[in-house]
Amino acid sequence: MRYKFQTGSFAWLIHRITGAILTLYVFLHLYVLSHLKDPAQYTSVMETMKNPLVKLSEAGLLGLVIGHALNGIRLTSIDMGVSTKLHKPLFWSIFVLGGILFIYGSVFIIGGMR
Amino acid sequence: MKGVAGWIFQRVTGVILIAGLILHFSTMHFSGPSQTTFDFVIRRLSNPYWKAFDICFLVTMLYHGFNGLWGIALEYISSLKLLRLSQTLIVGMVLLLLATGVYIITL
Repeated sequence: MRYKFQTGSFAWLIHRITGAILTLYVFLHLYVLSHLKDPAQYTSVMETMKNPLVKLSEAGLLGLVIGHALNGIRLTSIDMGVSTKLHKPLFWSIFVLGGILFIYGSVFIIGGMR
Repeated sequence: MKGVAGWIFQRVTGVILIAGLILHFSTMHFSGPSQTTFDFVIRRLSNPYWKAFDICFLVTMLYHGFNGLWGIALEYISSLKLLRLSQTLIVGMVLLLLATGVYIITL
């Protein structure tokens, strides 16, 4: 399958890639949580989650979630009858909104407030 | 799910997941360090409403995510044998994640 690199097809491709990564990420998420069966194990796993590299990955993960969710809203709104003429401005609006959410969230994650 | 129903259901579950995600993120990941400690997580999981929410969130997520992967497989894989293999893989992954998730939620 070939993609012509225009805003719409680019967003579509990104949607698939982020969706696949997020789905497979659930394995990792549940693996970490499976340590809840033992308090000491869970606490030590949570300690390793404070590693700066983990924090950076979490911020990256947040970026994937925001991108996938906002692009999903855009796709659904177009499916539901919002004019396709609006798909480019919609793309750029979610790009700006997503950017703001991403910066806000990343500062929170990397700022170590958790 | 086949055809139009599956396509619509992918959108419906997507919208549900956004709402669920906001709740999940705001309570578990964006409300300070005390929210992910062992005691807090276990206390939260002992609440039946959170249990119900977590199971619904997990099931919705598994449907949406793996239905999406299945859609990608359908589009890129033309060999019937490989398609059947990916179907088996997808079902296996869903069952594994569902079992793990329910085990954690009902701890």
